[in-house]
Amino acid sequence: MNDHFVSQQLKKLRQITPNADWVSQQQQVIMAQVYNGQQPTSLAFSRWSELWLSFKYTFSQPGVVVSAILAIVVLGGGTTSYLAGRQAKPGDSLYIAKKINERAHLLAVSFDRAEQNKLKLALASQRVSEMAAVGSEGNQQQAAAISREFKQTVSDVKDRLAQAESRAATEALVKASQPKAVAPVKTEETFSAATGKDKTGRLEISQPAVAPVATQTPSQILEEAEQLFDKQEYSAAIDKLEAASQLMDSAK
Amino acid sequence: MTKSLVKQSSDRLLFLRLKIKDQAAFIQAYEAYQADIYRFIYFKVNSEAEAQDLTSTVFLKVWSVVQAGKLKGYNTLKSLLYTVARNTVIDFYRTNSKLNNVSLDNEAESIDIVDSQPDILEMLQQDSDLKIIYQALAELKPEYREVIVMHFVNELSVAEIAQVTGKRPGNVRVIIHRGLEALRKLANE
Repeated sequence: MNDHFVSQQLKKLRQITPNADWVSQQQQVIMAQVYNGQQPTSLAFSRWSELWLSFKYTFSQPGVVVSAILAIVVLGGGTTSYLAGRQAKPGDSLYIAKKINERAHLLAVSFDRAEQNKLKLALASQRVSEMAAVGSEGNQQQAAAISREFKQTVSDVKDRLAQAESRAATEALVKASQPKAVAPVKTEETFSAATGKDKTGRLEISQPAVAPVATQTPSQILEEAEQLFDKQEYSAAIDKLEAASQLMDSAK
Repeated sequence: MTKSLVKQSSDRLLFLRLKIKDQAAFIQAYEAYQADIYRFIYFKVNSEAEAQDLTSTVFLKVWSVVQAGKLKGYNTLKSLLYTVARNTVIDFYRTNSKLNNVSLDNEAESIDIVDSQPDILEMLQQDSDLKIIYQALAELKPEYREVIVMHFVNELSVAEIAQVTGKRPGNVRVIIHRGLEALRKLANE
């Protein structure tokens, strides 16, 4: 016999149980003692007390408490500080919280360059709004900090757009340099009457409508936004940032 | 693992309900543990009748502890039940030693198979290996037997046994190891 066999045999000794008749008799005795002639506690009360204790027990577990606190800190604290700090400007106590929150948002979309650019433009718009508020208060230091951030943000987006354009141009060149597949020559002769009629049979006199071509690139619009910002035309600057964002979106 | 966690959680809940003197919780605790406590005592006193009486005494004592609101010294339902059971058996031997001049060290030093319950006898007759283990367990040192029964038969964890016996978990592990070794040797003799 080895230890494992011995322990397996010991488990079989669980079959030793008290006599069933004695158990039921004893239960009556115990119940008589416990209830002492009173009515047993109502089931409803018992259920409620169990539910309440279950809740209490769950939230008395260290793991659950730590998780709950973390969730409150991350969600509640994050949201609270974000809401409170949304209006914070450089130098304010909640400005750091605001910056952390912005970074967190940027990190969340770090794998999607286009989304990150859009988010950066939204942050640039936020800086413009802050600048408008600070401008009226006349705080030079804050204004300089906001201006620096605005320019840095817009410059980042412009750099990325330039990189993307350069990549696209290189790809186009590579594509153009590749030999084109020769289209098979049609041997079948067809005759058609180019009447210029459309499907309804109406004679088309004018040239077909051509889709309007964007005259400006997002980078150019951003440059204009920067100029407007410098001229303190904040509302127009925000419009330009939004236009650039929309153009980037449609170019996807 | 999950089953043990669920059991632990429901035990904890029962214990919390006992703290508020919930009568229904006590009845549930009785239903859940009467067999375990009976078995624990049975291997200590070597008598079905004594084990039955002492098991009843244990639960009535536990109820008086619950009613008196003296649960602060106990961490779990199991530690409460087994500690009361242990002390009840000690009181039983103390009283008997005064009456019969029996040494306290003689706590069920051997279990007489002839005196066992008919169903236990039947079970042992059908399984010769189990009979050997049962006899070997009867010859084991009471200190080892108590821990072996709690750990292997009643499935208490090392931590739970440590709470009941007031020993450190490391010591409990050593006792389990030595007890199992001694039991194996006795069974192989």
